[in-house]
Amino acid sequence: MNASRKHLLVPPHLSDADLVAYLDEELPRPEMDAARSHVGSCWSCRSRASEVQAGIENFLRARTALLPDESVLSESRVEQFRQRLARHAIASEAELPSLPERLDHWGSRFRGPLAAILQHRQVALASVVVVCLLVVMFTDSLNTRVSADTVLLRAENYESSHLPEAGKVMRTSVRVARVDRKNSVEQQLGTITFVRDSASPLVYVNAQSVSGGAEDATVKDVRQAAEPLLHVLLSNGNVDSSLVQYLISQQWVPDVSVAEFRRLAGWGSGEAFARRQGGTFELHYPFAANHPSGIAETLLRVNARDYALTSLSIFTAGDDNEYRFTRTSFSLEPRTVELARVFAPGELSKAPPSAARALPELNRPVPLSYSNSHASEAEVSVAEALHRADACLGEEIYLFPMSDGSLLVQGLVDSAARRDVIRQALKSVAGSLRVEVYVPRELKNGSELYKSPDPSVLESPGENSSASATLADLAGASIPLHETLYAHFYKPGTSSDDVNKQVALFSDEIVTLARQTFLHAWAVKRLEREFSPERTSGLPAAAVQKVEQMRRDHSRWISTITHRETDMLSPIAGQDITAGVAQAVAGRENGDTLLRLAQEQNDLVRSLFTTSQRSAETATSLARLLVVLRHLGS
Amino acid sequence: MAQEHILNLSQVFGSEQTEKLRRSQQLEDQVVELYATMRPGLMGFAYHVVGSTGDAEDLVQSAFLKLFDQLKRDAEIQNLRSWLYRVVHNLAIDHVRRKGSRESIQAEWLALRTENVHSAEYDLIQKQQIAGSLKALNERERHCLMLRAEGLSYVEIGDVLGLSQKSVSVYLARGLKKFGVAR
Repeated sequence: MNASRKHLLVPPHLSDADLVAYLDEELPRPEMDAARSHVGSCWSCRSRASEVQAGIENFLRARTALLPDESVLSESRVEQFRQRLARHAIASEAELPSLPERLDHWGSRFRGPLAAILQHRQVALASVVVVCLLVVMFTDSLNTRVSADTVLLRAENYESSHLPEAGKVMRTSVRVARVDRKNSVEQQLGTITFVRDSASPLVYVNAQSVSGGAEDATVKDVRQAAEPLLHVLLSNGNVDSSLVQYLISQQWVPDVSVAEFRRLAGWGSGEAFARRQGGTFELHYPFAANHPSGIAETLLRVNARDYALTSLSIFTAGDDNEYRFTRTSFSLEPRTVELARVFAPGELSKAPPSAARALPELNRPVPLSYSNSHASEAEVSVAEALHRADACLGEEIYLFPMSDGSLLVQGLVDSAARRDVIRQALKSVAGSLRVEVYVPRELKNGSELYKSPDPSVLESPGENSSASATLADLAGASIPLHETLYAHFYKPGTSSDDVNKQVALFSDEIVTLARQTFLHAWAVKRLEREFSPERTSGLPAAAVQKVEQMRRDHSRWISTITHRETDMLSPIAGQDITAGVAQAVAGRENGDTLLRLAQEQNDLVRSLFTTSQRSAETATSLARLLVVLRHLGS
Repeated sequence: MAQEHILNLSQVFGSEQTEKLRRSQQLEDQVVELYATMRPGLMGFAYHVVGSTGDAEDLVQSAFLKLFDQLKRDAEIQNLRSWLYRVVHNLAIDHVRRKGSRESIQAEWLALRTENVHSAEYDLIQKQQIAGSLKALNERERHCLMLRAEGLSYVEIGDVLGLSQKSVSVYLARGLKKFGVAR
């Protein structure tokens, strides 16, 4: 008899666990039936079942004995719980809904639209995928990590989309400077201009160093001009000669283009990395130590908004210098007849090397606008000098960044003496600066003056809003507030002429103060335009601080002058008006608001204290004037 | 008798009753009523774990407050009885962990428990025997036996302790054996 047959004849005993489950009727039905049959016929298992049952009874007795007798407390416990629950219910009503509840409540608003979307879930899903793909492909909104290669590729796309079309040329101007990183001193080395033709593959290049050296040529391959360009630009005594030699040997062209940057970066062997600094992508390409060029690292800055190249820097290892090549302009211009001659096929070989130098439009730097140029430290210094000479207060003096990296102060002043003052103030400014300040008699037709570097900037506050005729008409006594002022200044025993004179002097002073307030507000607005965040993004903190200091100077003046105006006007206005004004004060906001308020106070003062304006509702105007002054002075 | 008790509770606290509770405007009254009904069993179990009447009472009431919150926000509860025992079990375990090491707590409450035996049927030797027998069981075995003694089915015990039905039967068998041997 084998084991299996023996197993069939003698059913196995129940395990302890099965025996307990059998007694509890917790076995599945087939096993329950089998167990019942087995225990019924098996003495051993029936005996064990009895032992288990006895064990259960023992345990229950022990458990009952261990439990505390709480029957007498039961009702009081229930009542206690009822009160606790009531308190809890009140507290939970007062509490903010829990996060899941809030989410549920919030989600209930979208159940309707969600149901509709679920009905067309395939379409909805496809739409979401398409939108996500579009966002990822065409924006950087989800791009927290910047890839140097991606930025370079996009910068390349930007350049290829700006190739000159027929009838145009592309002018690129690059300013070259050496920055001593230890002392943060920037030294200008020169400028380079590249003009690329649309009708031929020719490029006109022109380099001018600050020391007076100049080179220009029209070449088929821009690399042919690399050597003379670099000789001119880097021939300064402080420049590392091994670096220049290396760049020349490699025919590297400092045109701040993606192609030349790729070549430069390709000599390095370190791990490139990119990061975003405000509105600029910075692409760092380190070089291996002891590289024959002496370069430690190259850096390309790209505008994060449109991927236009901004500047390229070479950092040297030994002397810790930075050679910075900054694009000062990158613009399409008409292909004029003179330019066409420079690029004419066949004429290239015949043209003398300096033929193009005769073309004034190529050599002459052009003024840039605020929108296509960056502010430099030198520009801040010039603005500061003009600020010290008060040339920022309403005079038609403009500071132009030029395409060759230089600066031009140009404008019109009333007198030669005033011009001398401005020139004297600008003498302290280092760097490449030209000053062209005219007096009216020197101007033929006004064409000597460039248009404002910011076409959208507000017009200079000319004579139409000046207070040139501020002194009141003593005899006519026709200013709107004359009677009020007369009553204010009249004292028994004073002659009428003396009172009128006091009225006139008072009016003169208040009009002058109002005008000054307006001019300072105008200067603040102009500073905001000239040194906007976009233009100052690359400036050192010290330069930005200087701009801020100028702005603060003007604000302080505005506050001081308007307080003086308020002090003068309050006794005239009387208690009723000043009491109402005191509550209507709010802080000033930005340059626009400031200028608007200053303009309004100037107009109100002129309407009340000069004869040049129509008479107004004097009480209302005076009250409004005080409100505006409070705003400005706050 | 025990089986009949289980069936009755299932009928009273099944999903239908839970649904009625949710819809009831007198939710507080119903929860209190439920508390009065289920308190003895839950108290016994909680007291067994934490060893203190006051703490056990507090834990059981806390479990019913949680139940009130759940019903108020219309949360789904499949089996109310096993849900309540599970909450009490979890609260009690947390309580023991907060108070200190498990062993010292157990020793403390076992000693306390034997001191609380006032019945004349048990003399000092019997008290020591009970304490010694319970000490011989591990936590799972003790909890399974206590829950079974409260009338919970194997499925419900498994639900409370996170065990399968088979494991429950094994722990019960081992627990009974150890308890019997120890006595």
